[in-house]
Amino acid sequence: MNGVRNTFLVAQREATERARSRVYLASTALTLVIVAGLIAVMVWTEGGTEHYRVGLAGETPTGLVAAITASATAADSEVTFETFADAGAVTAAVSDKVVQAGVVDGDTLIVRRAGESPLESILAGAVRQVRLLQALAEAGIDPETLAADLEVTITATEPPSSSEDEAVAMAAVVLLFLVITTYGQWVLLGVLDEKSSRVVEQIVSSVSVRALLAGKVIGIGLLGIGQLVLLLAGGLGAGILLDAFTIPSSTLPTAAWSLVWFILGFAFYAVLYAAAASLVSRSEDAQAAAMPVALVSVAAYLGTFGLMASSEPDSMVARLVSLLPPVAPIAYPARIAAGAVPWWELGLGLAVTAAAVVVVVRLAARIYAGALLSQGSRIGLRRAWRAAGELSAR
Amino acid sequence: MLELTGLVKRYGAVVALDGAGLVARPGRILGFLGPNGAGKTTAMRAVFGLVALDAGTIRWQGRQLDPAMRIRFGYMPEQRGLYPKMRVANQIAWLARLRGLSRAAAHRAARATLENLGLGDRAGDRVEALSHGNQQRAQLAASLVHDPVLLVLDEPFSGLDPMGVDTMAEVVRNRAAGGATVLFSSHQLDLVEDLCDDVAIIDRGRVVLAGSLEEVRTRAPHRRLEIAFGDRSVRWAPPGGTLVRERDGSRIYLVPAGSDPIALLAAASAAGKVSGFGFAPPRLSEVFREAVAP
Repeated sequence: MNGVRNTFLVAQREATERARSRVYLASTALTLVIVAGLIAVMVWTEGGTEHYRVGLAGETPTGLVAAITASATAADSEVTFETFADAGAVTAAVSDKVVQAGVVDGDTLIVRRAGESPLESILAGAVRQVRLLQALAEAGIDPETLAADLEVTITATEPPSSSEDEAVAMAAVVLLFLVITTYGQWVLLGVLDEKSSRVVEQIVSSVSVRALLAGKVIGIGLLGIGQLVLLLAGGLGAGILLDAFTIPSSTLPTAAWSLVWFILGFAFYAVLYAAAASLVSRSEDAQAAAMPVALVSVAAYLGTFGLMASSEPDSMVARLVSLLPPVAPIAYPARIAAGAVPWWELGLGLAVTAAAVVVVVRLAARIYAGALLSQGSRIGLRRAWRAAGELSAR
Repeated sequence: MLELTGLVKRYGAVVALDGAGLVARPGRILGFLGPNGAGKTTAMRAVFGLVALDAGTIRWQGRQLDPAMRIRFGYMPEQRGLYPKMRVANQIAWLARLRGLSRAAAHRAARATLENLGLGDRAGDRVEALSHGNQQRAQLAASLVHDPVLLVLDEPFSGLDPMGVDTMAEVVRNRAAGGATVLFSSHQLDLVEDLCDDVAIIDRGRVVLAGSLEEVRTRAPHRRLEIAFGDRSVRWAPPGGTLVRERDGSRIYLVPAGSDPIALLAAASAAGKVSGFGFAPPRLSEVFREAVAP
């Protein structure tokens, strides 16, 4: 079929010409650097297991070291101990940063600045616990019995959500929005390029408008997927190599679903950008023509971000809003990352969005066909709609 | 052979084509003439399916036109352009592939066409780096690269310098000599007269005059009488003639086609000594003005 061959040729030209361009290479490199930088910052600030040194002086009650170690482990930290001659030596060690904190006689904490380090609450908790046990023992109460009496049963309706999953969700929202918008803009500029250089009439004299539009969107979309895969692989690879964070279990499904939703979201927005670009002939007018599309995508982005950040990312409102086709491609990967999305809901979202893509492609292709050969600064939507018979007739 | 029959195209209240028709034959060059807005571009676009006709048929070799035939046609639109950032040879080869050539054949054809048009040494340059004249050659290469059986050129001579005009005219002649059917529109009537075998004149969406250049000129209701007297003060005018132009003592009249040149010369000689005399069918520009007169 000629249409398929021509679509392929158009897509191939888009992909190879652009992939060779300095702008693309530079933007890919820059994005990779940013992703790597973000991971490095994460590694640096979170640093996985925190390591503390604690100075001890005076009389250290039995059980205190064990209690400190236990609550440190619970807080994903490790503590090593060093014994000093007296309170003065510990204080000096803390100010000289030999140790991060000191405990004197099991009841006095020495820290550099109060209330700044998580170590302070680890130590304070351990000290209180040891003294409470002492007090209980002095009062003749068996701590074991008391613990049994105080036991509370907690039943959760949902699996615990971790902050790591939320971070993955946020990353998915940002990444998808960025990639969809960036490549949508490329389609905008690509269509405009053909109009302003006036090469388009030469092309559509031998290629159908549909093949030209499809080829352009597919070619640029493939570049987008390439970059997305590169970024995901680069990000995950760097994370694994640096071994600084354990990859949250939600990452791989989120990454896979992100690709699926990128395809739908890109198709949805790219053809709209193409239609907008076909309405104008000069780059000065292009951003104005694309404004409605850009606004919708930004609204979808902010909306999703809001939903994800809200206390109820699984509320009915959130579930309904994420079904909207402009929102779904950004919202679903985030929801998948943040927690389980029921299969039926995911299927419904995919179906609704795919159906919307079909409708939007038809509408946008009609406007594109109607406006493509028009000259002049700007053609109205209505005129483009009516003129659409011209090119799609072939 | 390309046949357009009864083409009708309306844009709202504006009638762009109102039953226009023409025939372009292989091995011949057809000049498509008409004032601005007469429907030339619309008719040419219709050949490439860029206009949805309200009525009319377009046939190639006697068969209804279909997209498979179109890829063997070459078109130079009025709105010309190429991708500015793409390299010349790559771009021409890409356009050739869109018209069905294999990758290797397309690259060979692109090289050969550029070589032919004197652009061989610029094949690796970006289009935007070419001079205006060379961009126009590249544009022409884009229309010719797949060795089209029909060449449709919309105002190919507009904006060309005299050397560009010569190159273009030579290309057009060579293609026709090679058996291709060539159709082009132009406002430069003297050029059309030099180049064309056939002409079709369109006015307000209708073809008002068509045929070989010779036919069109001889079929005109007038003849062109040019006369000069040794004594410039002699005032003689041919019966039924209208003065078209007077220069350096030589006067040009349009006289009825049935006039007898021998009788006219005798009458003029009786009025004074004739130093110059010419009697011929009208020039294409005169035929054109008459055909599209308001």
